[in-house]
Amino acid sequence: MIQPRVTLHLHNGSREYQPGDSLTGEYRLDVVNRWDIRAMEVSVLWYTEGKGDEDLQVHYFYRLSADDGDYINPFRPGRFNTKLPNSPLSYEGVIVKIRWCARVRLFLPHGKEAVDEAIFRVGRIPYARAVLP
Amino acid sequence: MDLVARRFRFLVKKRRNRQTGSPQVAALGQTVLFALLFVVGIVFLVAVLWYQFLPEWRVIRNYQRTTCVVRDARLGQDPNDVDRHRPEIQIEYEVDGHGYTIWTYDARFHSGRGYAPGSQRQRQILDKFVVGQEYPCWFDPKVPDRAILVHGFDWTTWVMLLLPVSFIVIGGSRVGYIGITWGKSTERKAVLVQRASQLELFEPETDYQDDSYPAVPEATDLTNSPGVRLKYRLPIERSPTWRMIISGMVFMVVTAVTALFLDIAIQTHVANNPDWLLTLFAGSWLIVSAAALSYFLRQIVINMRAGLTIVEIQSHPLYPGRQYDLFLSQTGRLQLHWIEMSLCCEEIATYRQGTNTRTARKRVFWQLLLRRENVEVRQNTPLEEQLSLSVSANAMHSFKAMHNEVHWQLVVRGKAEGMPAFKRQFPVHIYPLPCKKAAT
Repeated sequence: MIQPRVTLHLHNGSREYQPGDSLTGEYRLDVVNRWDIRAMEVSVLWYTEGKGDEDLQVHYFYRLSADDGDYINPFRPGRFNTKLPNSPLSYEGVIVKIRWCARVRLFLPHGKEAVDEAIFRVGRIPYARAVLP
Repeated sequence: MDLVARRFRFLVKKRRNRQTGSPQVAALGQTVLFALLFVVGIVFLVAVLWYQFLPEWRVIRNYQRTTCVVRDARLGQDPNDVDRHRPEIQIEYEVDGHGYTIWTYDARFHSGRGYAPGSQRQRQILDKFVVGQEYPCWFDPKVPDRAILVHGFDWTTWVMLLLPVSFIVIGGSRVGYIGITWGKSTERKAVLVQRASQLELFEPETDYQDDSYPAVPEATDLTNSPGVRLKYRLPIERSPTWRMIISGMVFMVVTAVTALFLDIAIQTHVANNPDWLLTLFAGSWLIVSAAALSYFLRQIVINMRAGLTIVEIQSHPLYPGRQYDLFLSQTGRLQLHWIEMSLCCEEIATYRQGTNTRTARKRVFWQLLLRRENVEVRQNTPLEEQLSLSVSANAMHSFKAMHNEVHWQLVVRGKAEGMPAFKRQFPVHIYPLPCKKAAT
């Protein structure tokens, strides 16, 4: 049996953006029939990695739900577009890292999900290194 | 499918795609736990209302006031527990021409309750009632031979109510939160929390977007104090006076505990029955007390001799690639071996380890802005220095989220004769350059 899949593609091939840039992307759903999709969410967000507990904030969020009567067409690629904010910039610190990503999440019957994400950089902050006191 | 090439580690934090637990099972477990807390709270609340609140409320609502004469007073003992007592007062009063003589005290008395551990407080209550004197009392019009001397809610009733109410609030709110977020993705939950924090609960759930400086701390808290030489006087991060007061309080608490243990230990020696383990324990507290005293004295010396450190800045917030004027003033009466001012950036990460919350710091930038050696600071002639600060074009902006932070600060350090080195920190915020598209 073919597992439903989702693939996400950002239009800027280098995946490097500046604050205020427009982020555009496209997603394709690979399912046998459209009744398999309960809901779909597109989000652009940042999250932290490193020693601390994870912080996460969503910049752009879009949800379509079959239960709410939204029409989700799995046979046509979907597009999204958002203007990136002034902050936070992507950061590769020593114990704090900030990552930006676009994510598409597909909700399937029986609580199953299919997810794809594309990580990109905002700004050009160089890698940080530990400095002795 | 990704193959895991590394060894799987059981005892370290596993997040995102390394998580092994089921979020559904975890949520179910939490729901059961907090629902139980909620139910216990409800049962407890009903019990408190039925047995404590309602009898007192009926008294306040229905009982009528009259005057009685106290005939006797005694300390009542709980028939089931010899250590629990209650005050019992014999009063005499009249209702509609009929005289009544009864033993009573408060609303709980007639249902055989009102006993409390010990007897000292109950004796103090008895002392307030003088035999032969008149006092106000309240009787039940339906059952006139039932009267009491205390009218109103007892403070314990409110305390007893507080406990189940807190259970209900904690249990109910957590179950409600789990219910709202059940089956929702991490992103959707984050959006719900963001909207709740911005009080935009009734916005439609599509096209959510924010245009400000998210996750950059507000600069207004650092610009509310005007400077004398330059535009703003920067606030100090941790005041040395507060550090001195807190270290003084810690010293007093530690000394009190040490004195207590030492006293008990000495008594065992005096009684010719020395407890060496306790003596050793008291000795270790003595060392802690000495360390606390040393730190407290150090803070006093720093506070009295180093005086105020003032840092003023031309503009705030700071932006990468720009230059700013700074002014440093160090007051006091001291011969400084050296004093220096630096710009510093630290990463701060807060994380949970078991039931503890820990904070890790890592310095990632340090730039010396000024260093002076062998400087004398007199009472009326403080050290004053004008300098400039260049923020690197590649500097990371200030960042603050719930568990992670990128923190910039100006640090003034110094070492003077006859006193330990001192350090004072002045936070600054670096903002990312405004995007060109937003500026136009």
